[in-house]
Amino acid sequence: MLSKSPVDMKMLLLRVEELTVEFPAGPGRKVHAVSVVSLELNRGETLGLVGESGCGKSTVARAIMQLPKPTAGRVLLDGEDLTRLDRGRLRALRSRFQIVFQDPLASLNPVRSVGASIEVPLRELGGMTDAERRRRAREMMTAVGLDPGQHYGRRPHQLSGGQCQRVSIARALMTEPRLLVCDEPVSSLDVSVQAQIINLLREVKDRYELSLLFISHDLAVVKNICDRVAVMYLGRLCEVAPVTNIFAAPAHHYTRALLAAIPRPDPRHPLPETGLLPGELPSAIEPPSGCRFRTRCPRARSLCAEVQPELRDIAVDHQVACHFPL
Amino acid sequence: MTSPGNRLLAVEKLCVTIPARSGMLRALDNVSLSLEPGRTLALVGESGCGKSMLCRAITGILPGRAATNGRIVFAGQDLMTLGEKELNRFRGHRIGIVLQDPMSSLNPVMKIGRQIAEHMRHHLRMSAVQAMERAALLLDSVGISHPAERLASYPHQLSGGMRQRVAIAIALACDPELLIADEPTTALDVTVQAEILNLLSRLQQERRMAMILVTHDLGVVAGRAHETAVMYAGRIVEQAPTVELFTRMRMPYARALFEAIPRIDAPPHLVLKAIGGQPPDLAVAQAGCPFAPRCTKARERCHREEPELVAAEREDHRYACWFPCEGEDLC
Amino acid sequence: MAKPASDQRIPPFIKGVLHLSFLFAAAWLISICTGAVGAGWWAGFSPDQMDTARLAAPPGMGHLLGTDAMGRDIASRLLFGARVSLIVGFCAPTIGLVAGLLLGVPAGFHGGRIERAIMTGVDVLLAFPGLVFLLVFTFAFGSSLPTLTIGLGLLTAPRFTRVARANTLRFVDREFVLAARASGAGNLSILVREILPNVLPPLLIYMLLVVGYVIIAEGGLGFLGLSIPSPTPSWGGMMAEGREVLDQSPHVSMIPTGVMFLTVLSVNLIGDRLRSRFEGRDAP
Repeated sequence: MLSKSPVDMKMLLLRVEELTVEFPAGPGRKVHAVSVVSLELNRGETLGLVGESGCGKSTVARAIMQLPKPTAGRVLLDGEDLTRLDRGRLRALRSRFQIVFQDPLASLNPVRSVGASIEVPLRELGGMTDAERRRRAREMMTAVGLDPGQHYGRRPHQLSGGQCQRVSIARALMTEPRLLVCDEPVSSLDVSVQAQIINLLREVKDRYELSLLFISHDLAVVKNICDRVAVMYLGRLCEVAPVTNIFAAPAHHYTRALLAAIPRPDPRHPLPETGLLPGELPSAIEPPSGCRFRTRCPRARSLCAEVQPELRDIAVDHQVACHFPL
Repeated sequence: MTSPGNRLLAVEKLCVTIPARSGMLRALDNVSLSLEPGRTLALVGESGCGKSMLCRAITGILPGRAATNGRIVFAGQDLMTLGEKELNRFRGHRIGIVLQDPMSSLNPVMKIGRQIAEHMRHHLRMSAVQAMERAALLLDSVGISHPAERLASYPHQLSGGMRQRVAIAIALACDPELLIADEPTTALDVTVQAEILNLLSRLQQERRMAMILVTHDLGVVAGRAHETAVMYAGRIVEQAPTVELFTRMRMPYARALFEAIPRIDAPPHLVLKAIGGQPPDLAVAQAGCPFAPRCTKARERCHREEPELVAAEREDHRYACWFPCEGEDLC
Repeated sequence: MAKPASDQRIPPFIKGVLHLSFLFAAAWLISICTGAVGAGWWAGFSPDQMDTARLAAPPGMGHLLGTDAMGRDIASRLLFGARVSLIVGFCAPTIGLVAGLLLGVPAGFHGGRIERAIMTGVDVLLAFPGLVFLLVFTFAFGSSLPTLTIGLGLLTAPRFTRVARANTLRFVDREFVLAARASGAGNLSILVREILPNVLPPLLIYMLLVVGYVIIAEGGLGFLGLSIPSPTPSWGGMMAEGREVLDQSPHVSMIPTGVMFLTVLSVNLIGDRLRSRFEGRDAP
């Protein structure tokens, strides 16, 4: 399923194996937030992780960041398993993978100037004078489109949402990471600002040779910035494919329902189809047996309730977890 | 355009100013619009453009310190002249409102059946039994399965989509002539969004209600509103029948907004046409067009004189721009 | 139809009064503090000096605020007594604040067993009657200024712990804390650099409230005779001493009472004002 030849291993930056995150929910019950999710991210690639609320995509992001460690599974960054590291080694490696959060204002310490917040990762890294840190922070601010002369000493509440998000991105880039996890980075922003930040992410990715894990519920944004896309539902992966394939020819019924529901700003385009996704999202504490999507799937058969579908190849680089894909 | 006699709602030169720490914010600046029975008007804009403030003005729930000017004429009555008691006959009764976050518009410690019933009994004369029966009917009409059992549920026991359906049921309970939906689907997943919007359209047609649909998402508007008005900095900057607006956007902000949205039909890795800068500070009075500082087409006149909202080629297509865009068929 | 703006929900008249009272409060506190610090210079008389010719004399000739039952000048005694009230009033809550931070912030941060242990301890301490504790404390350690300060400080510690924990919980799950962790910060660094600077302002504002309580508590102790023993003047002691001549010369008790009342009121007014300024700016 996820085999790579030795040559390809050089390209591989992040490999997530059977990631599982469970939370206690009362005596003997657990929330199965993420169940056995496996992903791969190559160098220089942007992988999108999409799904609706409750699918576990943000939980995957935080588990990869070891904030906190997942319940089970492995997270291999450049071959090193982050879940098995002791605290000291993990802290040392944190410079290699960083995260940008959804809420721009909440990501910044309200009592500190944004310039000082940007410096924090360098301070933890150590080995630099104050002046050197400040210089680098100011440089990075310019690189993300903020004027350090004006904004360095400002507090987060004095900046707009878009500016705060630029600060978060600047902070994440300070240690020259290889992997940037973006957890719904534009969902809280206005439309006009969204476009600015998406363009900025694209730009910094090229400039600093990053690999991005881009989490979002907005498929149009994902299509714009990602190379490959993974779709999640109720803690499991449904489909993983290159971006053009998944939008042109979705194989999983959930993906199709998701795509059909997107409104188009075109009055001549027919309205989004409804009825492809009947019913409600099941509880994550007692997810349906077998395929978790079967309670809402128009093609569900008895096999779907008995056997859990695993991700398997149906085309080059296109995997789907379904017994009866489209 | 409609003859004045036919209009259900007419907002005339509405100005709302709110004192804030940084100065007097001009939240709404000379806004005028009208709506006939049975028609849907979409208000589109980003945060701070005034669309929510306009809804609050119509329903009379502006912050206490606000200064107002202008008229809001609903079914022949100027709502601005009414006191709280009289406004209550309109609010929730002849004018229904659905807000963005159903979790905060529903009382978390009251069963939903009771919330609907109490709302009705407040406005209409009804026994408790009658109100509950009607509540069950309402839940059914908004697409909630097993309505009689659901009456006993608390809001937290329902999903986001279902809560919003309940909020819609409450808004429609007294058969309003006008429904104001302020970002009704923004907090919902995209698959639920389509259902809720379809529900609103269907109910509107069945009951021949007028509807004001407020959203920041141009995709939501297409196909669901007869007319669309784009707002910026407390003003309407362009307004037209929806199809006309999407094919012939004239005001540069409207166009820029349209072009900044990532499109699902577009090829991947397209560099988006972002709008530079930020929305204006409403506390600072500016000469000229409010969008001029960010407009790629702005010329000297734009910074000096504020353009009026006027109709040019078609009577029903108004826009406020000295140098409007040309061209057709943007979609 | 036009409606003019009304600035704030509070009518202008009341807003003006509030503002004026803040100025008064600040002026009063500054005067008291200056008076206490420079009591040696300001006081017209030594606090022990007895003017036997004028016992319990009302305010007037020679004595600005009159004399007490033993002929001592009230105004001078107030200034010296202010030292006790202010030192205890500010130092005891400071002790409580530090204790609250050391216990409450880790409780909120780590949660789990640590939190349960600390907060159960706090609940037990809060259930214990404060007066009994102070009685035992002064009995065991005496009632000098330091022991009084420490005793009252310990008394306030449980409440500070609760407030510190509550404020820590506000921030501990916020993204900026996660972001610091993602930047490689360890627990101590996060506690000191991220959490503490956010918890401290609300705690300091709460402390001002506690200052008022402690001043009154000290007054109460003085009234019971448990505070600094005479002849050192204290406001509570002065109130107690005036009991004997309450019918003929009520001013002997009432003046120190009034001064204490105004001081506590001033502290509360300033605390309120600071709170509204701070809570306006901070993100929820």
